[in-house]
Amino acid sequence: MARNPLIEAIHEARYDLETCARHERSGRQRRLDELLRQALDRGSSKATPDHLLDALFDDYREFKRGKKQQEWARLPRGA
Amino acid sequence: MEAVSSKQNWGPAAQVILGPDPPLALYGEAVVWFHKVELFRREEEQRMYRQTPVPEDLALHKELLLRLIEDGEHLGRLIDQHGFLSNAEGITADDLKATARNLRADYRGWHEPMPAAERSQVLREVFDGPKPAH
Repeated sequence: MARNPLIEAIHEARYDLETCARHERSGRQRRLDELLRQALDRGSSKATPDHLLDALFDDYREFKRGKKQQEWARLPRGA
Repeated sequence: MEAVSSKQNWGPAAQVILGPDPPLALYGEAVVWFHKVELFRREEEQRMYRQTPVPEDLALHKELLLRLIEDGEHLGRLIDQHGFLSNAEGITADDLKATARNLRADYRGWHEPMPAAERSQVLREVFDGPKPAH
Protein backbone atom coordinates (compact mmCIF):
# COMPACT_ATOMS: atom_id res chain seq x y z
CA MET A 1 0.00 0.00 0.00
CA ALA A 2 1.33 3.44 -0.90
CA ARG A 3 2.59 5.35 2.13
CA ASN A 4 0.04 7.83 3.36
CA PRO A 5 0.96 10.09 6.29
CA LEU A 6 -2.40 9.56 8.02
CA ILE A 7 -2.17 5.78 7.65
CA GLU A 8 1.36 5.90 9.02
CA ALA A 9 0.14 7.98 11.97
CA ILE A 10 -2.65 5.47 12.67
CA HIS A 11 -0.18 2.57 12.57
CA GLU A 12 2.21 4.45 14.85
CA ALA A 13 -0.60 5.19 17.32
CA ARG A 14 -1.71 1.55 17.30
CA TYR A 15 1.83 0.37 17.87
CA ASP A 16 2.27 2.88 20.71
CA LEU A 17 -0.94 1.66 22.33
CA GLU A 18 0.35 -1.90 22.20
CA THR A 19 3.83 -1.19 23.51
CA CYS A 20 3.43 1.70 25.96
CA ALA A 21 3.45 1.36 29.75
CA ARG A 22 0.27 0.01 31.33
CA HIS A 23 -0.75 3.35 32.80
CA GLU A 24 -0.46 5.09 29.42
CA ARG A 25 -2.88 2.86 27.53
CA SER A 26 -6.05 4.94 27.81
CA GLY A 27 -4.26 8.07 26.61
CA ARG A 28 -2.82 6.19 23.63
CA GLN A 29 -6.27 4.77 22.89
CA ARG A 30 -7.68 8.31 22.76
CA ARG A 31 -4.93 9.33 20.34
CA LEU A 32 -5.70 6.37 18.07
CA ASP A 33 -9.43 7.13 18.24
CA GLU A 34 -8.77 10.75 17.24
CA LEU A 35 -6.76 9.70 14.20
CA LEU A 36 -9.36 7.16 13.11
CA ARG A 37 -12.09 9.77 13.46
CA GLN A 38 -9.99 12.25 11.49
CA ALA A 39 -9.57 9.73 8.66
CA LEU A 40 -13.27 8.85 8.63
CA ASP A 41 -14.35 12.49 8.68
CA ARG A 42 -12.31 13.42 5.64
CA GLY A 43 -13.55 10.52 3.52
CA SER A 44 -16.99 9.57 2.28
CA SER A 45 -17.14 6.25 4.12
CA LYS A 46 -19.81 5.19 6.58
CA ALA A 47 -17.31 2.78 8.12
CA THR A 48 -16.80 2.68 11.87
CA PRO A 49 -13.39 3.18 13.52
CA ASP A 50 -13.19 -0.59 14.11
CA HIS A 51 -13.92 -1.27 10.43
CA LEU A 52 -11.12 1.05 9.44
CA LEU A 53 -8.71 -0.66 11.84
CA ASP A 54 -9.73 -4.02 10.37
CA ALA A 55 -9.25 -2.78 6.83
CA LEU A 56 -5.75 -1.58 7.73
CA PHE A 57 -4.71 -4.69 9.63
CA ASP A 58 -2.60 -6.42 6.96
CA ASP A 59 -0.71 -3.20 6.36
CA TYR A 60 -0.34 -2.67 10.12
CA ARG A 61 1.10 -6.16 10.52
CA GLU A 62 3.84 -5.31 8.03
CA PHE A 63 4.41 -1.98 9.77
CA LYS A 64 4.79 -3.79 13.09
CA ARG A 65 7.10 -6.39 11.59
CA GLY A 66 9.28 -3.56 10.31
CA LYS A 67 9.39 -1.97 13.76
CA LYS A 68 10.31 -5.28 15.35
CA GLN A 69 13.04 -5.92 12.80
CA GLN A 70 14.61 -2.60 13.77
CA GLU A 71 14.50 -3.67 17.43
CA TRP A 72 15.94 -7.11 16.68
CA ALA A 73 18.80 -5.51 14.74
CA ARG A 74 19.72 -3.54 17.86
CA LEU A 75 19.78 -6.62 20.08
CA PRO A 76 23.08 -8.37 20.76
CA ARG A 77 23.50 -11.63 18.85
CA GLY A 78 21.92 -14.62 20.54
CA ALA A 79 19.46 -12.46 22.51
CA MET B 1 -38.99 -1.67 55.88
CA GLU B 2 -35.65 0.11 55.59
CA ALA B 3 -33.83 -0.72 52.41
CA VAL B 4 -30.48 -2.45 52.75
CA SER B 5 -27.88 -2.71 50.04
CA SER B 6 -27.94 -5.75 47.80
CA LYS B 7 -24.48 -6.68 49.00
CA GLN B 8 -25.65 -6.73 52.64
CA ASN B 9 -28.58 -8.95 51.64
CA TRP B 10 -26.17 -11.39 50.07
CA GLY B 11 -23.97 -11.28 53.17
CA PRO B 12 -21.39 -14.08 53.45
CA ALA B 13 -21.91 -15.30 49.87
CA ALA B 14 -20.89 -11.94 48.45
CA GLN B 15 -17.88 -11.77 50.75
CA VAL B 16 -16.70 -15.28 49.92
CA ILE B 17 -17.11 -14.81 46.17
CA LEU B 18 -15.93 -11.21 45.85
CA GLY B 19 -13.61 -11.08 48.86
CA PRO B 20 -13.74 -8.56 51.71
CA ASP B 21 -12.28 -5.80 49.53
CA PRO B 22 -13.36 -6.24 45.88
CA PRO B 23 -11.46 -3.21 44.50
CA LEU B 24 -8.23 -4.55 46.03
CA ALA B 25 -8.89 -8.06 44.72
CA LEU B 26 -9.69 -6.68 41.27
CA TYR B 27 -6.50 -4.65 41.23
CA GLY B 28 -4.53 -7.83 41.98
CA GLU B 29 -6.34 -9.68 39.20
CA ALA B 30 -5.70 -6.80 36.81
CA VAL B 31 -1.96 -6.83 37.54
CA VAL B 32 -1.83 -10.57 36.85
CA TRP B 33 -3.84 -10.06 33.66
CA PHE B 34 -1.51 -7.30 32.40
CA HIS B 35 1.41 -9.63 33.08
CA LYS B 36 -0.24 -12.39 31.04
CA VAL B 37 -0.81 -9.95 28.17
CA GLU B 38 2.87 -9.01 28.22
CA LEU B 39 3.95 -12.66 28.21
CA PHE B 40 1.58 -13.26 25.32
CA ARG B 41 2.98 -10.31 23.35
CA ARG B 42 6.55 -11.57 23.79
CA GLU B 43 5.66 -15.03 22.55
CA GLU B 44 3.53 -13.59 19.76
CA GLU B 45 6.52 -11.60 18.57
CA GLN B 46 8.63 -14.75 18.37
CA ARG B 47 6.07 -17.06 16.81
CA MET B 48 3.96 -14.76 14.66
CA TYR B 49 6.35 -12.00 13.57
CA ARG B 50 9.89 -13.31 13.76
CA GLN B 51 8.92 -16.39 11.77
CA THR B 52 6.08 -17.48 9.57
CA PRO B 53 3.45 -19.00 11.86
CA VAL B 54 2.43 -22.60 11.21
CA PRO B 55 -1.22 -23.66 11.64
CA GLU B 56 -0.55 -24.77 15.23
CA ASP B 57 0.81 -21.29 16.05
CA LEU B 58 -2.29 -19.68 14.59
CA ALA B 59 -4.58 -22.00 16.52
CA LEU B 60 -2.88 -21.37 19.86
CA HIS B 61 -2.61 -17.64 19.15
CA LYS B 62 -6.36 -17.56 18.59
CA GLU B 63 -7.11 -19.55 21.74
CA LEU B 64 -4.82 -17.51 24.02
CA LEU B 65 -5.94 -14.20 22.57
CA LEU B 66 -9.60 -15.07 23.03
CA ARG B 67 -8.98 -16.11 26.62
CA LEU B 68 -7.13 -12.87 27.40
CA ILE B 69 -9.91 -10.82 25.81
CA GLU B 70 -12.64 -12.63 27.73
CA ASP B 71 -10.75 -12.32 31.01
CA GLY B 72 -9.97 -8.64 30.40
CA GLU B 73 -13.54 -7.75 29.43
CA HIS B 74 -14.88 -9.67 32.42
CA LEU B 75 -12.50 -7.80 34.71
CA GLY B 76 -13.62 -4.53 33.15
CA ARG B 77 -17.26 -5.34 33.94
CA LEU B 78 -16.42 -6.26 37.54
CA ILE B 79 -14.44 -3.05 37.94
CA ASP B 80 -17.42 -1.07 36.65
CA GLN B 81 -19.51 -2.63 39.42
CA HIS B 82 -17.04 -2.56 42.30
CA GLY B 83 -14.45 0.10 41.53
CA PHE B 84 -10.71 -0.06 41.08
CA LEU B 85 -8.05 0.60 43.68
CA SER B 86 -6.04 3.76 43.23
CA ASN B 87 -2.48 2.51 42.79
CA ALA B 88 1.11 3.73 42.72
CA GLU B 89 1.58 2.58 39.13
CA GLY B 90 -1.26 4.84 38.04
CA ILE B 91 -3.16 2.13 36.19
CA THR B 92 -6.85 2.89 35.69
CA ALA B 93 -9.84 0.86 34.58
CA ASP B 94 -9.65 2.73 31.26
CA ASP B 95 -6.09 1.46 30.76
CA LEU B 96 -7.31 -2.09 31.22
CA LYS B 97 -10.23 -1.56 28.86
CA ALA B 98 -7.97 0.03 26.22
CA THR B 99 -5.69 -3.01 26.42
CA ALA B 100 -8.60 -5.43 26.05
CA ARG B 101 -9.94 -3.40 23.12
CA ASN B 102 -6.52 -3.49 21.45
CA LEU B 103 -6.42 -7.28 21.88
CA ARG B 104 -9.92 -7.54 20.42
CA ALA B 105 -8.85 -5.54 17.34
CA ASP B 106 -5.85 -7.85 16.90
CA TYR B 107 -8.10 -10.87 17.21
CA ARG B 108 -10.29 -9.60 14.40
CA GLY B 109 -7.27 -8.79 12.28
CA TRP B 110 -5.60 -12.18 12.66
CA HIS B 111 -8.58 -14.49 12.94
CA GLU B 112 -11.59 -12.74 11.42
CA PRO B 113 -10.01 -10.86 8.53
CA MET B 114 -12.15 -8.46 6.58
CA PRO B 115 -12.97 -9.78 3.09
CA ALA B 116 -10.66 -8.29 0.45
CA ALA B 117 -13.45 -6.57 -1.48
CA GLU B 118 -14.79 -4.87 1.67
CA ARG B 119 -11.29 -3.86 2.71
CA SER B 120 -10.62 -2.26 -0.66
CA GLN B 121 -13.92 -0.43 -0.52
CA VAL B 122 -13.33 0.96 2.99
CA LEU B 123 -9.81 2.09 2.15
CA ARG B 124 -10.93 3.66 -1.12
CA GLU B 125 -13.79 5.52 0.55
CA VAL B 126 -11.67 6.77 3.43
CA PHE B 127 -8.42 7.64 1.73
CA ASP B 128 -9.52 8.41 -1.83
CA GLY B 129 -12.77 10.15 -0.90
CA PRO B 130 -13.49 13.89 -0.87
CA LYS B 131 -11.16 15.95 1.29
CA PRO B 132 -12.52 18.66 3.59
CA ALA B 133 -12.10 22.26 2.42
CA HIS B 134 -9.65 24.08 4.68
